[in-house]
Amino acid sequence: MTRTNHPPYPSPSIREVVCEIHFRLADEWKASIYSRYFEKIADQFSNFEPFSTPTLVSANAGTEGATIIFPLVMRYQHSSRQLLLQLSENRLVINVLPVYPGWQQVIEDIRYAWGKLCEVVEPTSIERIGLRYINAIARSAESETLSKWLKPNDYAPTAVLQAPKGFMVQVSKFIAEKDRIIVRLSDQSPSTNDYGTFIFDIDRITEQNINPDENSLLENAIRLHDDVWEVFSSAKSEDLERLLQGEFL
Amino acid sequence: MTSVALGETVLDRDMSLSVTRPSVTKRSELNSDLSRLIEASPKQAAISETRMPVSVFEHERAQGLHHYLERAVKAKHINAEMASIAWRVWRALSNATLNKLPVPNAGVGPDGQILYTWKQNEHHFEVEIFLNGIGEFFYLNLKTNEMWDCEYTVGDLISEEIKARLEFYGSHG
Repeated sequence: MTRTNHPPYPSPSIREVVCEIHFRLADEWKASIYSRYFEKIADQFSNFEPFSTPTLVSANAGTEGATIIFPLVMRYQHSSRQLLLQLSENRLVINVLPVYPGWQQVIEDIRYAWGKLCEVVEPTSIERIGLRYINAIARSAESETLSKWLKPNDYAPTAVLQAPKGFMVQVSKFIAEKDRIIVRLSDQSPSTNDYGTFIFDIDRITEQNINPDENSLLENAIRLHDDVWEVFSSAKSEDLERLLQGEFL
Repeated sequence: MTSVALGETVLDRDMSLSVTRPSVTKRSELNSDLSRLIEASPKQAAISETRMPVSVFEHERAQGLHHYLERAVKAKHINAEMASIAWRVWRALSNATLNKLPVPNAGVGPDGQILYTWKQNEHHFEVEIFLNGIGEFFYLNLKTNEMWDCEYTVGDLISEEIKARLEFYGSHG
């Protein structure tokens, strides 16, 4: 199903994959959709719980006139895998946590999640698909810079790769009128290891109007994945390749 | 044992992904413009940004183990072949336990062997790995004094018997 050849790595650096599908329905959204969806997926997703994260939104830059809202999200957790589905009004999110099972499994999870939703509601269109790969690489030494793991490319400038601790940069690029790539490079202070973690976050978004059938969705997901892969592979250094392969000098 | 690079975990190993914020919905505040703004946010839905699930924690500790072995090679405490063998043993154990086995603490022995250790409650498990590709497994239950050991050859599948004996790690989260 993959358009290009993406080699699976024995030790992938992927901390999380997020696939967001924004859709439009023929009918109004109803709260009963959450439980009807659960009934469809309960054989694999044994738990679900609502949550709401306060979100600050503003029509202008800054916080002037900003409003805090509390969008309701229903989160369904897979019984045995590190896989979650999040359903909210006109939005379905598939979250894949480590260990990354490979793209073939991820796209199967997208197909499953969307197919089950379509048994409950009747989408008239998909308005946006986002595919985000959050890579995390543990720093191996106090003074190490990101240049050990990434090579400069269109989204990873040399100045950032050579920056000392405490950096964050976001590069956003429209590659077509309704298609964009957002790359975030940053580092996090130590929480899981001695020296902190580098984040290489690749977010590929399309806002084209897409037919809600399964084939159209998956075709687009593959297209986004190809672009994410391109950004990742063009930035990958030899040291990162060795880490991914579990090899040593 | 000359060094132990990977310390004991002190982080939250709670597997629960629930968010403890109040579940309040103010739909009346959601006019269409605001809805669009929320949807425009690309960072809304990542789990690992609001919580540190145990699988994420272990994922980065595994990278830490790789870094440790690489540092040991550079410092000439072990050679690259030994690092590779030790890494393969870790991957074999992790795969055999369906990624349930936590990343071990690791150290280099005086003869260039690698020692992995795991401690969870009363369970003490260790693997000593030698350059000839042999691993020695040893388990001790600190409460009951139950004990077992066996030999493992790198490249072999982990036996069903060993998998069954390590099942208690299935509940580590």
